Amino acid sequence: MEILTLLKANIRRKKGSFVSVILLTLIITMSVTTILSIKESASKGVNNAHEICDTSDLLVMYRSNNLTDNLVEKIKSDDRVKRVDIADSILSEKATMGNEDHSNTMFITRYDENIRLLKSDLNGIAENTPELQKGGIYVPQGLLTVLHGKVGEKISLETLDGEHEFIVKGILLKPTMGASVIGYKTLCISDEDFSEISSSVSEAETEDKHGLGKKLKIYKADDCTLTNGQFRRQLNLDTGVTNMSIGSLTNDMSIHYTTLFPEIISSVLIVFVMFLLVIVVIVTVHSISVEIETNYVTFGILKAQGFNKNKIRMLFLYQYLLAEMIGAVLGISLSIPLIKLTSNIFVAITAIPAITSVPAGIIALILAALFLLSSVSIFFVTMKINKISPVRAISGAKKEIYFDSRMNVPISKKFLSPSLALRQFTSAKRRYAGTLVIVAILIFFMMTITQLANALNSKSALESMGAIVSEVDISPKEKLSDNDYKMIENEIERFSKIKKSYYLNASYFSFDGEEMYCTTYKDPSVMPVLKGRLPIYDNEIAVSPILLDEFDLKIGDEVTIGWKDEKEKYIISGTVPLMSDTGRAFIMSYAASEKIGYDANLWGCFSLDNGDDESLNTKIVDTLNEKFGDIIEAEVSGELVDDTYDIAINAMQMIIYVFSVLFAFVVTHMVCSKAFIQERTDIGIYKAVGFTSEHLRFQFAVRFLIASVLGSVVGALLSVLFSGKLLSGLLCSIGITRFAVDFTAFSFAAPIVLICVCFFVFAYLVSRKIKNVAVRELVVE
Amino acid sequence: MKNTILSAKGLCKSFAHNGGQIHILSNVDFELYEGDFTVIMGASGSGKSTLLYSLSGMDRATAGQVIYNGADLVAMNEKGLAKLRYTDFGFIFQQMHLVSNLTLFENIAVPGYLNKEKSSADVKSKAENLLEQMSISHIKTHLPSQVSGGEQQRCAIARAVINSPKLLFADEPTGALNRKNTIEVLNLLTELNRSGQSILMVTHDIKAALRSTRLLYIGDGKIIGELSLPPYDPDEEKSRETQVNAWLTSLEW
Repeated sequence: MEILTLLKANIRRKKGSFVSVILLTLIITMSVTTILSIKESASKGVNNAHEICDTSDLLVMYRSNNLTDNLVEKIKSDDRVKRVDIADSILSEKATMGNEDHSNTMFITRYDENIRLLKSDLNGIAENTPELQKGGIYVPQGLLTVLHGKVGEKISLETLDGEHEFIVKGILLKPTMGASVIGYKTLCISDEDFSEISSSVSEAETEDKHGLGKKLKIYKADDCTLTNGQFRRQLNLDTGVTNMSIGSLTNDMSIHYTTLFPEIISSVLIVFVMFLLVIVVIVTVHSISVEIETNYVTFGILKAQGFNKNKIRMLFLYQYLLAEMIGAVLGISLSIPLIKLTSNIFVAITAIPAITSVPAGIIALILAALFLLSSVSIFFVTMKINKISPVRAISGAKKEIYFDSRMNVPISKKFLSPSLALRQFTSAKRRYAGTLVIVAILIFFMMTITQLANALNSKSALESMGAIVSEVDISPKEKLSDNDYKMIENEIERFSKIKKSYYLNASYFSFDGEEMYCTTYKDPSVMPVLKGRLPIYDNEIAVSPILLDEFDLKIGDEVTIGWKDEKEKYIISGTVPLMSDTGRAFIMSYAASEKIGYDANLWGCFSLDNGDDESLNTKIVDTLNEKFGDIIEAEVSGELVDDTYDIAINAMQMIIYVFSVLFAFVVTHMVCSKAFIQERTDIGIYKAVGFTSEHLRFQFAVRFLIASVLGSVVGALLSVLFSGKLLSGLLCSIGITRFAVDFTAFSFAAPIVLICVCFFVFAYLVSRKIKNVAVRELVVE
Repeated sequence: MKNTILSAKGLCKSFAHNGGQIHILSNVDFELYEGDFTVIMGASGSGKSTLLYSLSGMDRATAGQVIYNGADLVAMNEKGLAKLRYTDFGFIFQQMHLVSNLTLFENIAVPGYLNKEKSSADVKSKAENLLEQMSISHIKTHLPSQVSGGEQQRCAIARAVINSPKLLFADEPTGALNRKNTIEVLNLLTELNRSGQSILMVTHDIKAALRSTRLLYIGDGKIIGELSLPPYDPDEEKSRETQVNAWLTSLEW
């Protein structure tokens, strides 16, 4: 009861600290709940869509001529296979909407009443699927995202017999191949259109060119205990199911690709929020520490009245836990409408409507961790109370405080306020240590996210992470000779010097029995190497570190690479950064691929010295098409990073920056208010000798500026040391095992200037109370 | 004929309390003369400190005027008052109130640095002289918490006079000191007054009051008595004390 009375009095008297802790906990709880719910909702939506669409465990895609009845029979008769469904399709290699196009294999299928559509607002799955009429098409949201199109617009598809135009009538739910991050797509046209176009494509087919395809949906037997990946590998080893395919996708891989982006974004944000949680604990500890110092006499009196140390310590525990609990309850309450608003935020990428879901268990665990961490911190910080003697406290015999510091610099007339501020800072270092740590954490995250955002726009960063950076690309219409390529290069060099030429092709090969993405280079030395060396001889390959780990291989090991029915042993010469197929990829020389019968025309990608001059690039492309139009098609390279990712990363950057500023404000408010209480007398003295409130407010702000500059230096140092590692850890799921950090003056300056200015301005604003301190308060009657 | 350095007209100070008003000063009219060592005495709660703070502009009067150099301090803004504090006024507190993280030298020099008319070198030289004068130069690099109360108060006096103020205000400057330190501080103030420094001091210590050349007595928020004294002479302290005691007794001290 007595604790309750004191608790009420304490809260009334220290509303500022109480409200600040509530606010900080509110922000964290709201963020954690929202982020985790978005992630959970996206994942639940994906699983639900797979269930509704009865997706298979393995989807294998073929050109019609490559899928023989014999192969189908072999697959069907395998004990591990429960069921095989086959769907006919027309293949399209290019889709265009307005000025945007998407080049990859797309499977145009026939309308069937079992297909499902998304609601027009993408907020759920539609109840009905209207039958498609001639000229109409259903496409997955992922394709619309890539093409920046919407329902009602025209889409043009290139098939073997020519180009066909359709009007997008609805958004197709395709959980396996609908996401914008997956290149393959399934589209759906009317029965009539399908019959007409497929017969026209069939007529246009030759021995070398095939325009019709088949999709094999393979379901595992109920008693098959293999993972989907193992199932694909074993089935391929026994039947060659993927050897002749265009590509294959297991259900797990599809879910992995589809939810990749929500996973990465939420992981980055959750790591950030976890550090904010640490900030709350630092602020709480600082606040309690100052309270004990300023209420020394009060605690002495309480002890004299019979309160024991434990009761006083419990007072702090109850007060701060109560604030955190109120913050948590408010945070959860506020996150409910926020979750409803944001749960479907990734639908443009996943192409699957989210199902709003709150992972209550995990959130409860995180909150429990916060309460536990706070309780432990409060337990330790309140140990000081044990040492308070009632007699010493009441007689005012507080331990003498010496402000001696080796960091003291002389007070100068020229820089009076800054030098006084520096003295106040150096003589109360502990008071600002918390601020310094907090700034370091904020700066570290701001710089890390800036690195991520910059990398998306930095050609050199993307190149060192395995992306092919070029400005002009050519795709040959026929097999070209070295001389043809030389002539093309000479033509380009009339406009701009070529920095780097890539001649390559890519396809799925069998890698120790498993289908794996392989890029074949005329000269693999154009690639950066991580370990070992790049392939030189025609019996060598280089793999991504992810592949090396997954297959438990090391450099120098031998693997079997297969193309269709041919197989050869190759030696792993080194590791290379590869982002294709989320890092499950390898490279080899074109000569090496020829050994197993791979025969493809090599595309050319040219990185130019004057690559930033877009009009020059267009001029080069026009000239190439004019001069070599009969043998190649030239085009300006597309954006390296899709707008969707750019927007998502920028949004994430914005969230981290806004939260950092918000935290800067609350932290400044708390620390400043406490410092103000501790220094009230000094403020009165300074006023008495002629300092104005403005002088003193400036000094307050300068102190926080010093703390934030020092914190920024620490944060920047941490960022230089660990941002790359953190991002590599978070992004290895998309194949980036060594994130190429690219620190520029701007990447340092932007977050540091923002945080330092915020701390300076906030401290200046919060210290407005100085105006109310009257010199009269120094009077002892 | 003495020159008036500061005057108060109809000075009132009241505080809100329990929905009503408590009047501390009621229509105080008062003149302070140049070169005087004026001491205000009065019982506890009589309003002597309030009067001192109102006259020095450290606290704003509820009504009335405090005229200094033709300007009314009651109506003066914060910037104007701050300037007065580092140019024309000096202040000594009972509790010394030195800035705890500045050395004694720095405590003295900082108000000097505020004065734009003085160079840094001038301020430093004056501070050194004052440290000598106050006999604390050997501890000038010490922090306030590392020196005695008397040394702190001597430092506070040096700080108050660093800008050669026209008027020095002192609020019970010996209230927190032992007898030895009290005498040292009073000697310093007497010395300053002899060199022409105008001083207005509040005290209820008769020994301190003996140093004055003009004694005022405040009761019920008004000045109710005044006694003029010749400059302090230690040899005549006994007779001076008798005279002051008799005067105080007549005012029901």
